[in-house]
Amino acid sequence: MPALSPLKYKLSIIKEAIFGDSEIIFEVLVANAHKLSNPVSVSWKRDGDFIIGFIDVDGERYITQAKSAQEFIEMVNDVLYAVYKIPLNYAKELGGHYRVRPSQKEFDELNNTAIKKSSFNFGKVALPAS
Amino acid sequence: MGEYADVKRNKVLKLLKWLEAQTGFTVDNGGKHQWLIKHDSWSRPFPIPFKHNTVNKYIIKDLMRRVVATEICTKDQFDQHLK
Repeated sequence: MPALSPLKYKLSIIKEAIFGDSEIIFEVLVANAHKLSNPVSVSWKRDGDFIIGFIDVDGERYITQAKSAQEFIEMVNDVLYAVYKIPLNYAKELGGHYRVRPSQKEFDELNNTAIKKSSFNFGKVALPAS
Repeated sequence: MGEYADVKRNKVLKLLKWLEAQTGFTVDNGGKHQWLIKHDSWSRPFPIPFKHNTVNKYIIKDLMRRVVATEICTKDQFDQHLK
C-alpha cells in the first residue's frame, strides 16, 4: 500500500475498526507481545515546541516527536507498534499507548520545561497470561 | 543542528512519494501516526510521525543520512525533493 496522507490513513483506520476482523487470537497476541518484550531506552531533549525522543531497542534507533509529555508517551508506543507491525486491535490489548511508560518522576521531568533533556529505560515487559 | 529546519508534513509526503518510486524502497503507514519507509538493505523500517504539521529536523536529518547511505541519491538531490 502506498503512503497515505494522514487524513486518508485515519479514515482507513476507522473503516478497519468498523468493518475489519476484530477477533483477538491468543497465540497471535502472545507472538506480538514477544516482539515487544525487549528492553527499551528512551532519551529525549526539547527542541522548540517539540520533545524529541530517541528510542533504542534491539540495536536500532528510532526518533519521534511530541508536543506534550502525555503525547510523547503515546508516540513512543506508537513507534514501537508500527516498526514491529503490531495490528492496532492487538496493540490495544497489549496496553495501547501506555504499554511502556515512565515512572511518575520521569513523567514530571517530561512535563517540566525547565528540564531540557533526560532519559528513561523500560525493562522486559511481561507476556500476557492465558 | 546543521542546516536542516523542521519540514512541513506535505513536503515530507511529497518526498515519500518520490522515494517509493525508487528501486528497493517501499513506504507504508503503521501504528496510528507513522509513515514507515523500508529499504531492502534495512533490517527495520524508518518511522516518520505525521501527527503534527511539521516534522522535526532531527528526524529529517537522520532520514537523509539513511537514504543517502543507500546510494539512491546524493544529499543535494535529497534536499531538492524536500523543496
